[in-house]
Amino acid sequence: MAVTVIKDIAVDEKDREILFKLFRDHEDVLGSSRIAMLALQAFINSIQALRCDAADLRDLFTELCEAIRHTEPRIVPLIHLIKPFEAEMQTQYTDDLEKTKDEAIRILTAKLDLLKSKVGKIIEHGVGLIKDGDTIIVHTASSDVTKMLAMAREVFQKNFKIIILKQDFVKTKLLIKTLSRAEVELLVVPEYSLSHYIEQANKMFIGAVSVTHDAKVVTAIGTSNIVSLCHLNKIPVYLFATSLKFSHHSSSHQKIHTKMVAKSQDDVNYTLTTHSHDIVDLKLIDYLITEDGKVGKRGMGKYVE
Amino acid sequence: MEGVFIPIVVFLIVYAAITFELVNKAVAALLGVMVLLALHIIDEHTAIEFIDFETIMLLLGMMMIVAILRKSGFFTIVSVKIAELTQGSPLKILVLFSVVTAGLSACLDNVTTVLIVIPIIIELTAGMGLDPKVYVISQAVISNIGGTATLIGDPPNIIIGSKVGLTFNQFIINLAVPVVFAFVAALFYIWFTNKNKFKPIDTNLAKLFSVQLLLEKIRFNYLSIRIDKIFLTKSLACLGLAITLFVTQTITKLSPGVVAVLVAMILLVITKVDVEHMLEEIEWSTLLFFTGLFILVGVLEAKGVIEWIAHNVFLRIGDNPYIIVLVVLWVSGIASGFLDNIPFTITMIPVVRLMLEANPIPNNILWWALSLGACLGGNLTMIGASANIVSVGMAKRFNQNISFLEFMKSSAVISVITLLIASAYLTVFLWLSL
Repeated sequence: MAVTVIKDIAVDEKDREILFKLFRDHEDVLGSSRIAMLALQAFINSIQALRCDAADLRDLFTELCEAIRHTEPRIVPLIHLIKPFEAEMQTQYTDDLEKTKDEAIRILTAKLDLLKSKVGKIIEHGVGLIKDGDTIIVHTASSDVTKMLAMAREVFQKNFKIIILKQDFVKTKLLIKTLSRAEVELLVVPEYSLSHYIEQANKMFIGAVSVTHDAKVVTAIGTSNIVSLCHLNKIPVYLFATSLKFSHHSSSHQKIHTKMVAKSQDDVNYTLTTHSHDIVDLKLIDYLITEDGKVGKRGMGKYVE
Repeated sequence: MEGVFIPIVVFLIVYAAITFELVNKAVAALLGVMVLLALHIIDEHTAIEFIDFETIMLLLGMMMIVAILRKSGFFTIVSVKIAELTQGSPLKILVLFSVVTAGLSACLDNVTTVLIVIPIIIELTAGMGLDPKVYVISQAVISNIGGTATLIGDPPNIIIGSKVGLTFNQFIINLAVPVVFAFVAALFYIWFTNKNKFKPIDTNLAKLFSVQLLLEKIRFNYLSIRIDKIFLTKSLACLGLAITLFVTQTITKLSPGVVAVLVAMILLVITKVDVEHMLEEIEWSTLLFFTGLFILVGVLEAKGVIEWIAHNVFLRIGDNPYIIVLVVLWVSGIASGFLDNIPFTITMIPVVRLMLEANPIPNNILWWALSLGACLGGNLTMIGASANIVSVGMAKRFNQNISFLEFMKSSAVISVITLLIASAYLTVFLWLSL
């Protein structure tokens, strides 16, 4: 039976803002790899629920992919997977709606599996970096780094201590809960108090949204200061990033979200400008951990290029 | 009627203080009692006799059961699962959440239900770019309608059930039908007046995609607590036991108050919760408020004031049973919309008793009229029921300001529609009973 469907293709400005905010909220808490996985799964689920004519499918996919490519900030691993999806789909559009939907789901599932495998390898390499007696500084770790730390304790029985730099509770909640559950020794301190504990630490782990063509790392807000402090104190900084996080664009093209809010306190009125993410110079990073393993300063150039 | 002037004045001042929220309700009621004691209008032994301990026990027991159930994460799990089931469809959000709200309000209490449901429904609808206000108002209204169906669903029913001796089954058997009709009518009205807000989203890929991410965010925010399955199972088993004992009241001869406190004590023992911490969750001020009101109304009854009101106001309406039933229903409905329905119900119980003595109406129909009026009338205004006030307060916390008139615009019409349904039901019921 033919179904008449009202066309509702365009992603309007309001929907786009909602979508971007959702991406930011997830990225803040889970990291960019995890949000990329969630987005791919959400794409698959949405295709399954979608009711439309076969002729509209191309426009609907293009609109959504276009919105995904322009999130603030850019979720680079997701963009690297969505672009080939779009390219592969060009030859798959037919008059048979279900067949086209099945094909799209098959391609997206393959992308999701690829991402999962890369993240899985990073976790494997990361676990090997943790030694007994380590004291590791962790700042807004992604869900993958969190999983890696928990695994090092639960599966490999390693004895190490984590200094968690607490900023917004929502961002640190998952890390504290997961590590507490894994019985990892924890010290939770405000990020501005790190100087009191810096001498205890021998490693720092960070994640990234992207690593840009001009050798900058787009990271969680607050990371820049902490990395600088660690660098000054000669504490090696380990950056966990799959090769999918390397962007072909410069840091100024990463669309870091800027918010300006009018504030009024006592009799002072001012506009507070905040950014969703920090930018850290890749020079301050000592080791890069990708799906290929640990890379020193000299090897990083190959990835950036 | 000797020495009635002071009790009447004290009662009216207390009533005004409660209605206009001049002081805390419990303080107002107990201060009134203290004035009567200090002026030797009554002595403390007589005052204690006026307290209906059956009602207090039922309230205390249910508060304990609800507090432990809340701790188990049961309400949150149900709400998040419902959010997932809706898959972002605006109409499904309205219908499925309303079914859950009505069901939970009938089995537990309205305020707890809206406290859990409202944040999730706001997060879901605001996150999708929908107007959360329609959903907030709908859930408040539906919780009051759902609570009308059972003895434990709404405070007026608890009071009527305990003081009159009506069973849990009698409430369900006699009130379920009008409540189901009222529920369907309310949902239809909300849908009909907001049709353009309930358009399906399954033709919009970007919206479907956003909803998937949003549901993941809700799962993360609300379900990231580790659910203790054993604790949850014990809590649900005890809730099941309580409901079974309520239903089999005529066989076990256990009053609802005894059942509620008994099950609460069993729960405390088997779940090993921190009793001190749990006791902090009990709304002691509500229990004290009830206690004070029972004494104040008891004094008025003892002094013959209630009898005077019954004879000179309600018994003047004649002896036509249809008119008597409808007057009780609509007076209760309108009064409950503007006054607190708890003191109103406590005051009306002796009045209805006297009305029944003068004009016996079969099958407890006058009590059902009082119950339907007091519960459904709460939807007339924002201040008509605790669930309304709590829902609007929760919405404000999420930057969704709902004004008194905005609330009333939807809720008052629904209240009138549901009272009309109740009128039709009671008329037919009475016609069949005579």
